[in-house]
Amino acid sequence: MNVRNTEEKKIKKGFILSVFIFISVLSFFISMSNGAVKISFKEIADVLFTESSSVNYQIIWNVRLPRTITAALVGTCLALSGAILQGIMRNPLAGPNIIGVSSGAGLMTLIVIILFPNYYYLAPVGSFTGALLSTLFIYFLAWRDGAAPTKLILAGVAVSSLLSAGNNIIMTFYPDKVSGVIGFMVGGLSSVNWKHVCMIWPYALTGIILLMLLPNKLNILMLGDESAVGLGLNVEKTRFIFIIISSLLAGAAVSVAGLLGFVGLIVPHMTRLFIGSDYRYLMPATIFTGSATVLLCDTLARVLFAPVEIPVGIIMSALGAPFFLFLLRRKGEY
Amino acid sequence: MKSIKLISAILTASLMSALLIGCSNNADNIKNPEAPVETPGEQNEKEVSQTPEYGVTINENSVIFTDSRDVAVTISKNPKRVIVLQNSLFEIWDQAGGTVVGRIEESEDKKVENASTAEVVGSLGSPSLEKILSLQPDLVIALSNYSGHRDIIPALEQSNIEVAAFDNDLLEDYYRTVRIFTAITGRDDLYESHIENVKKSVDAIIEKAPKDKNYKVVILFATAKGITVRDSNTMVGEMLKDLNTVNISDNSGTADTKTFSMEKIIQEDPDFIFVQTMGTDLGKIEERLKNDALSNPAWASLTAVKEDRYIVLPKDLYMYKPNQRYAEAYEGLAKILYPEVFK
Repeated sequence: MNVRNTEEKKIKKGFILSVFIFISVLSFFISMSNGAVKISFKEIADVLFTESSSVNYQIIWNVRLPRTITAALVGTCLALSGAILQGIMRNPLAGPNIIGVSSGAGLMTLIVIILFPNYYYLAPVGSFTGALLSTLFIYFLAWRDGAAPTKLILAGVAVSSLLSAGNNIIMTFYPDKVSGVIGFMVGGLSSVNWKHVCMIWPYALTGIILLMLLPNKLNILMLGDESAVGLGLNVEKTRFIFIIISSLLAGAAVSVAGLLGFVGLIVPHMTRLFIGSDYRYLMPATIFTGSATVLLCDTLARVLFAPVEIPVGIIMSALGAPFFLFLLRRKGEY
Repeated sequence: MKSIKLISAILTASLMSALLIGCSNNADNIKNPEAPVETPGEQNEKEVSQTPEYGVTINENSVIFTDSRDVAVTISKNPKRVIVLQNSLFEIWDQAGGTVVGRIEESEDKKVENASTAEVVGSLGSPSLEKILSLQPDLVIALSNYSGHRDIIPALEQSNIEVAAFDNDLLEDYYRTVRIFTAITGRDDLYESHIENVKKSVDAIIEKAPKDKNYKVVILFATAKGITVRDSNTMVGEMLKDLNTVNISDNSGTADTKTFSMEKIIQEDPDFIFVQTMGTDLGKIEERLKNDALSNPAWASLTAVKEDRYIVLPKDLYMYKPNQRYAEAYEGLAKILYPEVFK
């Protein structure tokens, strides 16, 4: 009976996973076929397979395609990062913000854009380094014979508010220059091109491969430190590796798309509501739900008030938060 | 027991009356924003002149106008101790023959001239109320669209300091500000010479600009993350519109500065791309920006980039307000747009 039950569960989860894959692929096509300039399916197919110098070719190949790929990768990276952190901290409120990714990246970007405007092109490098440095700093602060999740979260909150103070100081002293960084603060993909794809795909791919190899370790960490040690896991080392992976993933995403806090926090939750907490299923499912969320929201951001764009972060919070609450209520968890 | 009740009643009554008196005093103190601020001797004052186009009434000892908060203000002429909370406004004040006792910090790439003895009262975003009050100014000149300025205005007015708030974004703002400032300093001679020079030159350039080309332009704000464009309601946007160009981001959205679709830019294929930057080292940043545009296939496909009409604008004329150099700013753009006419 038990074996049959497990089999049934496996089939059910496999089915949900394939639905997620389908939605993600569908979102990719929706993103490719919509934009400020109306281009028919036939024209899109034409320019995809025959090179030309037409306007449509430029729009599809050099604007829409890199943007769609980047949106998918950003979603993947952030959602994975959030899923890992929620697992290792055993805390549903954990997300890339908690390990200082947003505040670190935010401060460094502000410093580059406002204080050193001559080096504006270093902003992505700055936000990536900022994200990583603040993660390491938080880890260092939380360390005392190991970095327990609660300590990590508290150190994260403290460091984040410290760095936010830095952000606010810069914004107070340079109010005339703030308009340059607002786009980054709410997160958006308006200027994405192939360069950004190149910046993010190595991290996304490495992250995905590593995580595919490690879901069992995450499952064990979820049991709590003592049980994990009992099962022969080097808890501190594993936790550190996961924190670094998730910081790399979120840092890469933030350096390309700005501060999209919502994806890392809520998408893993939504996915968990459908597929459960078993990381062998949750991990691949998160990849597809994360990418689908950013793809669909970015398409809306481009189309809703075209040719003016709204930052994708705003769409995500405006639509995602109510949807998430709806899911929670339906599942009776809220 | 009775006496306790009686005492409570008296206490309550006295508290209530104190409260009422306090309120009514307060109510008296709060100025009606619509009503002109009265100054001594105003009733008997002779109206010297009125400039209807700017809505400024110049009396013998005061100047009356509606400032950018939509508040009618009366400012006494020839104030001795003045603080200006924006350096661009200070530049205009200085040109109008005014002096200051306080100003805000200068930015590294735009030094403030003629104010070496003035004390610094804080930054543009957060001037210090205490520092301002300590200088005992007669007049404080502020910007209306900065919360850091708006927040301190009531406190200044309560201390009987005259305050006027200005917009300083477009050419019309500049003309009006010059009119008001020279009226306050009583230097009509400067108004005549200064504004006549600027206005006549600007008008002549606009008049000379060809009207049949209708070049399509886009103004990019370069250091922003994302593709941020500015429409004709911004300083450079207005200049370009006056020079008979069509801004492709006009008529979309309500904001002056907005994130814009790259797809639309490619479709419109503008004739000129003007780039505003906060960078200070123009040579270096110009090269970098142009390389960025050329190395990005989407930008490189645009005619303006291919034909070197991707223009990075110098900061002193096109990021900061050009003020008395408005004609120079207009001419610079006209030369880029119509080299055959403006040599």
